[in-house]
Amino acid sequence: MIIFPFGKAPAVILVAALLAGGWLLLHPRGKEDANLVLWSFAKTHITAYNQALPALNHAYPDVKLSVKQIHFEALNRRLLSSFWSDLPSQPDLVEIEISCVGTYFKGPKEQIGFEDLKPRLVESGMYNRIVRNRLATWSNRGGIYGIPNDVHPVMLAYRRDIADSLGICVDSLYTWDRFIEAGRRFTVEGERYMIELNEQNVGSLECFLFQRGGGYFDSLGNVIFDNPVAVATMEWFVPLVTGKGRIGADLGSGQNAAVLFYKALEEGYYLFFICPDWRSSFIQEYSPRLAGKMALMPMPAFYPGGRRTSTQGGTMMAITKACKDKDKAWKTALFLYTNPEGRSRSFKKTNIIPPFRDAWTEPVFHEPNAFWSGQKLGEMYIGLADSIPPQYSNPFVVLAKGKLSQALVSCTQYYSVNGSSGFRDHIRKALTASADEVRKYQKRGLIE
Amino acid sequence: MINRILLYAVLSVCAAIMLTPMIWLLAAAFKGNEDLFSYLFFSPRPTLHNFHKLFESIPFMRYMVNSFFVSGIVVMLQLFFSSLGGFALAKYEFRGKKYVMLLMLITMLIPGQVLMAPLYELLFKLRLLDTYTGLVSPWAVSVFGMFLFSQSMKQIPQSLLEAGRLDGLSEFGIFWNLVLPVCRPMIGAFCLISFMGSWNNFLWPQIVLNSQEMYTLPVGLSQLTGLLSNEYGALMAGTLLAVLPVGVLFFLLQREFISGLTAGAVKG
Amino acid sequence: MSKRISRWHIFRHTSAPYLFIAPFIIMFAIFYLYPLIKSLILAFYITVGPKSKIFVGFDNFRFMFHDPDFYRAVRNTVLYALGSVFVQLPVSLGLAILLNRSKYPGRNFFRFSFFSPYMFGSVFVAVLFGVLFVPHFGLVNKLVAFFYSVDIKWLSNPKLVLPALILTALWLYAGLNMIYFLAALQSVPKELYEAARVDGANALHQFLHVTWPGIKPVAVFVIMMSTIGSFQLFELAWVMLDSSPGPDNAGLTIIMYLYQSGFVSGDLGYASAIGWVLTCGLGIISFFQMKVTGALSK
Repeated sequence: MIIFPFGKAPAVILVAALLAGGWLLLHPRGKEDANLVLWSFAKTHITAYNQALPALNHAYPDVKLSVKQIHFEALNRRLLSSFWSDLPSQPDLVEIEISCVGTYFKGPKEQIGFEDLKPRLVESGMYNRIVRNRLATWSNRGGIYGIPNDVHPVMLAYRRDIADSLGICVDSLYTWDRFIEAGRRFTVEGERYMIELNEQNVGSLECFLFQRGGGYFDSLGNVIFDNPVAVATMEWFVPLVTGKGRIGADLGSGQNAAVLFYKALEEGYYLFFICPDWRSSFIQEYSPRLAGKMALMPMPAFYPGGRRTSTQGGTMMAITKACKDKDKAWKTALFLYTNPEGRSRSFKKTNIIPPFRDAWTEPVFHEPNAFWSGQKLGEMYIGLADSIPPQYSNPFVVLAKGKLSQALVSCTQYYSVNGSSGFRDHIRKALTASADEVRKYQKRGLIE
Repeated sequence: MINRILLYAVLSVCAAIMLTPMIWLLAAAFKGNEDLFSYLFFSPRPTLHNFHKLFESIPFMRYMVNSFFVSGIVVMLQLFFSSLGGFALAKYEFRGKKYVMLLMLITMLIPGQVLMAPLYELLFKLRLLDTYTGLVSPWAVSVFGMFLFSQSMKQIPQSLLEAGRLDGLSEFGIFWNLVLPVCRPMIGAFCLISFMGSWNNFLWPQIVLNSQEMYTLPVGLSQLTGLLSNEYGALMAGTLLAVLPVGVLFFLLQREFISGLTAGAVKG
Repeated sequence: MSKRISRWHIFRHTSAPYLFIAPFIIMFAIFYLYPLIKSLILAFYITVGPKSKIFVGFDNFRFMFHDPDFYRAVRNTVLYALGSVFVQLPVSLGLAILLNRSKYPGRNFFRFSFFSPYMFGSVFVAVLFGVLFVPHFGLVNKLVAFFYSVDIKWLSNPKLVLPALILTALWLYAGLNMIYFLAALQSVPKELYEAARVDGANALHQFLHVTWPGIKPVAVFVIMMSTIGSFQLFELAWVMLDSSPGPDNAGLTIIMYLYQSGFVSGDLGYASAIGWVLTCGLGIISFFQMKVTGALSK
């Protein structure tokens, strides 16, 4: 009788599998003593929350919070599939990013996996303390599904040392016309560019689109990125990054481009870049060598007296319906977002200003920041916070971004071949075609 | 002679191209972050920093154990079901055999991704999403494996089976005690093919699994890029460790593997 | 007594194959046949996750054939497949021919080194090459810089995404296909070469009249397998492009399109429809390949 006839190789694999199985039996999954689990994708947030843990334990001894960092794409895919398929592996609290929140609003309203926080927001008085344009993003069919974490106003960051040595007077650059005119003077093709702008990715373009009051969708969910504002923005933007006389450098996008971005910044390859509050902390962390050499200025306006900021990114804290103790989750979320001590620590780590108006007077936001040449970074961003444009969420925002980026690529290609002749017509055609694609998806029987 | 030098030159260049990424990987895993891009290959200051970083940012060992467990079970199930089925197809005549063969042939041409959506729905109904069972069971049978085994078992002489019957062995006994030991080279090859397939499987675990504690290496590692921005060294350390088990198995079973792979192509 | 035993024997013999194949068939029916039929039905629905769905008839297919992203995915996938077949396979065949010469020292080392990339799974290769392709600092660009001083943005320039993927796949699969060719070459009888040499055939003639006919069945097999494999490209591109279809959808493949609509947006119905279109497409392509190469006539 042969007990195991398959030979040596399978025997080794079998033993390995049995050993692994045994180990897994001995280490059953996640028996944590935490009674509240928070998922987030943002490393800086997590560091701040972990630092706030002792204070949280002190304020609420009954809360044992465990904070987990999860890959951005994975977090959304896992959470969506949990909601759709009633899987038990859900966090109690979760931070969701602005570009993906729309997907959660697909399908019947009762299938939305987040708790509607509107009653709690109204009851606690938070509702009136939050920058109103920031609530729009997290609302759907009458519900508000999260507490906003931020306002994310945008400024321009620049290499102050180089700008000084070149004699650039940033105060005079209060309109884009002036900025571009200066950019043409100081850009040296292949060596130095005035500003870092994405050529293929919509990151920069949408920032300008928002600044001019445009966007992907209006408050009713209509597609608007082919309206006259969008056409004008595109016509203005493309020559900045393409062809002769361009003042923008593109360093590519994606994870791997980050290394290049900091390296190029340190080498003075470009002077200015779009900098929402959250990004300023990244510069501090990854380019410590530039301390004291950087500064911030409000964005130039499109016309004198126009809006001098925009908005980029955004996060909310949501409570899942699966959460067993929602009161506990609510007070924890509030603590993490509004506790003054935690907020000041969090601000020092992330540079993110809160969306709560009454918090803006706290001293931490008015301290000079040595890295940014002693500027009062918080105060500067707060000064712009009330004028940020709204961003409306929609199940098709991700699609719309992709479509706008296709239109952008088509327009840059057209411009690099044909220049400005017939350019506006091409833009109009490209944007309408892209927007119609999104409309087609919208029309396709949405399950409500 | 010149011919021979030329041959070696060409071969060496090709081998260098093939091996360079692997050598770079090996070097990168032991390079500090500041040296990673400063030295083309090995740095004069090797460090284990990357491995520390890796182990502290993700439960890497857990992913590794999960991978071993899942791949091992899949190999065993496939091996058993395929060899048994292949034996029936190779050595018996029975009604419906033709249809079974035909059905298998057709399904081999259908890309597996067609099945993903309904399989996901099926596992949802069976409450098997986010479980090891759900991860393993769709892969328990391998049509390819059954073909491989039926091909190689056809060459076993009928007399061996008859001798077994005369000795009073049951039909299963014949399979277990006589047929399988003869097929060992094929088994070795199939093991490696099936182990590699399952070890490297990404899409299915990515869809089925939800709890981080159950992640297999490809799923876990693919997320490191986002978690360790600017920490390429740790990423490379993880890749190195993830490839290692397959590498060892591969080195040991090279000969069987190659003969197994080619058997299907050349004879079929 | 002996009669009974032999009848029992016969019964055991006739029932055995059914029992042996039953476990396989049962698992196969549950996890293969059932989903296959189910996916045909699902293809006519729109869903949000597995819980809510509505019947839409042929709308999924109509929508797909009017969606430029679908065509983009098909275009990318076809280009990648062409790259695989026309770049990878000649390289593999070339390597196999070099190795097929009479035994010489180091042959096994070369065979092993050509073949070893295959042990990397595509996810691990994607992670590795994602770093190798980093602009400016990455190994690939540093090696390129030896010859030509230019900074190539492999993965963020839409035009270079596919070439980067094809190069990576070349590294990963060339050795595997080489093994197939090598086995085929070794099965060509040596006497045929002798005869050809006696007839005064040069190397090209030898290849066309002796080698190629000898390895043709295997070549057809390899071409078909790489085509089918290429059409299923997903994780290599997905992981290398950091969980995205890449800039301007330059790395969007058919399976990625399926994955995004089915498992990111939750429309399992549409994903099934895409799967069936892919299946039909592959069926047609395989049919033509067999027809052109004459594999059907045998």
